[in-house]
Amino acid sequence: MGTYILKRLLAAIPILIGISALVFFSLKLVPGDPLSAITGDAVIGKEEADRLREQYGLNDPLHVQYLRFVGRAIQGDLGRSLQFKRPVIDEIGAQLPATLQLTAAAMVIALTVGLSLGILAAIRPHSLLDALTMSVAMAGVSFPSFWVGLMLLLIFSLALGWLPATGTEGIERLIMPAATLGFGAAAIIARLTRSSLLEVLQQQFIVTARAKGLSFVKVVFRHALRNALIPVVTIVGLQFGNLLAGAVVIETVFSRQGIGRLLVTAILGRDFPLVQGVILFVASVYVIVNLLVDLSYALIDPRIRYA
Amino acid sequence: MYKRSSSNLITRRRFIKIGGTGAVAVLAVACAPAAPAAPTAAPAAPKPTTAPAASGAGKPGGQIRYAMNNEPDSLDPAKTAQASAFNVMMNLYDTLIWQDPVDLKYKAGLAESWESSPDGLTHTFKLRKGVKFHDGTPFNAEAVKANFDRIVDPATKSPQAASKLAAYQSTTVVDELTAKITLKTQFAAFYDALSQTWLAIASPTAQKKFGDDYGRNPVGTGPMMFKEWVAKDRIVVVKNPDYNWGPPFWNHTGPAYLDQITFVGISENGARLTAFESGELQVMETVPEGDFDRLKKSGKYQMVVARTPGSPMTIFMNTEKAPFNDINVRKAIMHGLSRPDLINAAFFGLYTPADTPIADNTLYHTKKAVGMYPYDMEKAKKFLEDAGWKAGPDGVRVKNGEKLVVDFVDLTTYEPKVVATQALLKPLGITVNVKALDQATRVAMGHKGDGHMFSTALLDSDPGAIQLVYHSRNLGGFDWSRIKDAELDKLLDDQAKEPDTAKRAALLEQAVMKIMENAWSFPIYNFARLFGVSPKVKNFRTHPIGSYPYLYEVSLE
Repeated sequence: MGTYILKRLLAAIPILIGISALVFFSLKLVPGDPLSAITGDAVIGKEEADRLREQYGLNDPLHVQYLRFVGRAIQGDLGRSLQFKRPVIDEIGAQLPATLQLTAAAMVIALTVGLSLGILAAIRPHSLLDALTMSVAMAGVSFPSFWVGLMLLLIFSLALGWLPATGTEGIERLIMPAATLGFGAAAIIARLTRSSLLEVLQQQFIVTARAKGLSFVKVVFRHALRNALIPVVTIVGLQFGNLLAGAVVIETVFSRQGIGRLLVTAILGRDFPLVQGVILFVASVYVIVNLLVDLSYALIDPRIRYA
Repeated sequence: MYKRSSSNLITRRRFIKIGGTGAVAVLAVACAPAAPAAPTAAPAAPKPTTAPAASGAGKPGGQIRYAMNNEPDSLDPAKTAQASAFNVMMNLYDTLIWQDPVDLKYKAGLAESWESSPDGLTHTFKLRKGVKFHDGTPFNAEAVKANFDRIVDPATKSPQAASKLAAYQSTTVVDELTAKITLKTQFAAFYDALSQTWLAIASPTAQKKFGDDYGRNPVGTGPMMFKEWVAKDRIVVVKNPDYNWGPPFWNHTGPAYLDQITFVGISENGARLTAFESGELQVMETVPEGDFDRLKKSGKYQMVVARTPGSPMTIFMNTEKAPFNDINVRKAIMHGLSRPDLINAAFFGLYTPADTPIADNTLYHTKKAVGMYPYDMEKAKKFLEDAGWKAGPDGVRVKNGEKLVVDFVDLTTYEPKVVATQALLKPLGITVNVKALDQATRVAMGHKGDGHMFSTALLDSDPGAIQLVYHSRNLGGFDWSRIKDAELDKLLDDQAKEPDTAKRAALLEQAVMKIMENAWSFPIYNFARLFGVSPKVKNFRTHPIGSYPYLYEVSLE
């Protein structure tokens, strides 16, 4: 197990180096001058622009800039944000708690809603309940999250005035963003749980368990669900990545703090050090989550072993 | 004043309200000028539109939440060039002198009086006594010297302040409260530069203490003190109880009325509007035009159109590229594009038509250029015919087998303007391709001359700033019309050094006339910031530079 984890972590290094190179050079293909990160919307003279480019090292050849970045990154220094003039690591650190809070809350909503809808639909297949829960799930997959977010804003902030529209502090500012983000993931989890559970419920050991006189509830939760969960866990892991990506949209719609909004600001402002840092960070999180997902298979299904 | 030509206003408004996105607004406006309206009104005669005078004493206490459309990058005046930063910094810092928003004259700030040498190269400032920075550091001539020396130090990498001090040589500390500033060259806009918050005086102690992180820990002498900055969430400033050194034109003396101001940056229009309408915000900046109209009609808010000084929103025509390398085509655009119609179709009639490269609320605006290019379809057509562009079979004009097609490169936010231009130029036989891009990309394209039409407004209280968009030294920068004219360059250089105001006005007038006669650019409308203000907020008025509000004067009911 320990060797397996170590191997996987070592394998992540070339992935991260590849990602950093890809991001670095693709950013240079994007039109737009990183000077925009420094000057924002101001109209400045060409002499000033040239002076600033020189002062910020933006005139150096690409490979020099990349090697400088890698050299620093190895030492744990992601450089300074051009825009916010402070270390990239501090920028990420300041935004991370809010995104973690949002993704965790969204995940809780997604799992609670998704699993219950999926189980409900699976135990009464082709019933009205099934049709109803699956249409909710269909809606969740189809509606884009920015639209759902704006609708919630219109209803709960503007029309009813129950919840604040923007900001980060407090549980009341977490409800709408987490619900919006969790809704889409819940839909996917519900559909997958339903189909996976349906398949398992048709297997012979379920019939055996029922024949032994076990209650239906016990059969579903002790026997069927555990077997049905493997594909669900895989998708939950992937969904975690999706939630991080979704946070980009949701944090913007609700003006929340977070990594997603940081990334949007960084890209629009051509704040290259910041974009690099955030993407490298998100990629690392993704790699780790995937590892955790793989490890969790062994916990759910004792037949799976890692060596 | 201008007749509205479109019939589907309600749909348009609803769309914008629900979508809150540029894309939807564009769709709607694209449909609007289906029947291109006849010219509705002659451009209004320019009126000097300075800010209203100070009014009313207020009740101390209370706090407001104030939304901007983006978060500042830094609160170090030496290190930022962003409007949102200026907005917050105006409350934290004082400048040596202030420009009065009503008579546009310079008034005492941290400097009580000043005098200049006859050659305009040395300026001696008598500083106010008893002023303290928020960290207790006394304000004195040493502080002035430390700030200005720091701005011009290349290690500071100053994006805006350093260019305002380009002529700066040194500061001599004559005594505790006398600072003598020496310039390398004459600089006519020196006092104007000093009145801008980019050159505000910060605590040298705090700058030393925080080093590179000073911008996150700002310490000034202003009416509000920095409390906290939660990144991507809020910046909180609180009342400075000792404040008693504001400029003479403010509505009261002593500390500010408000106890606290919370600044938030909300870039999404829909979210900013919802927060404002649900009462979470007391002031909202950059109200989208469609919503401004709707909120105003609701009668529930104070809706403020705050004119900015400098250059109006202007269309720059790339003179290096066909067809705009031909003056006749440029003149055809200037006669053939009705500014009132554009303002009505794209912006709900909220702005006033502009006449010259220097806005009519700015120093040295000249009336001479007003009305040079009245809307006249026939004249416009004739200019095109003379240039050899003949009507083609599909309505688009043709010359030597080439169609008259131009690319208008602009910011997504301004897209309604581009779409309206497209509709309004169609009857002339000109096809306009809309290229709406993000700020960084469209600026880069403008710098490269990659496109035919570009637009920007220029916010500055000194009209000399027009050199940024017309001087050939800025080719490859913001000289988006790609003008390379030695005579114009000389006029712009000379005015920058001319200490005599009458002579300077004459030089600027010549420069403006030259730009207009050559039809190098097309001033479209007078730029303004659109604010939504809660009815509870009293005495809301704005500063002449970029129309930032004087929140010092504001009180709550």
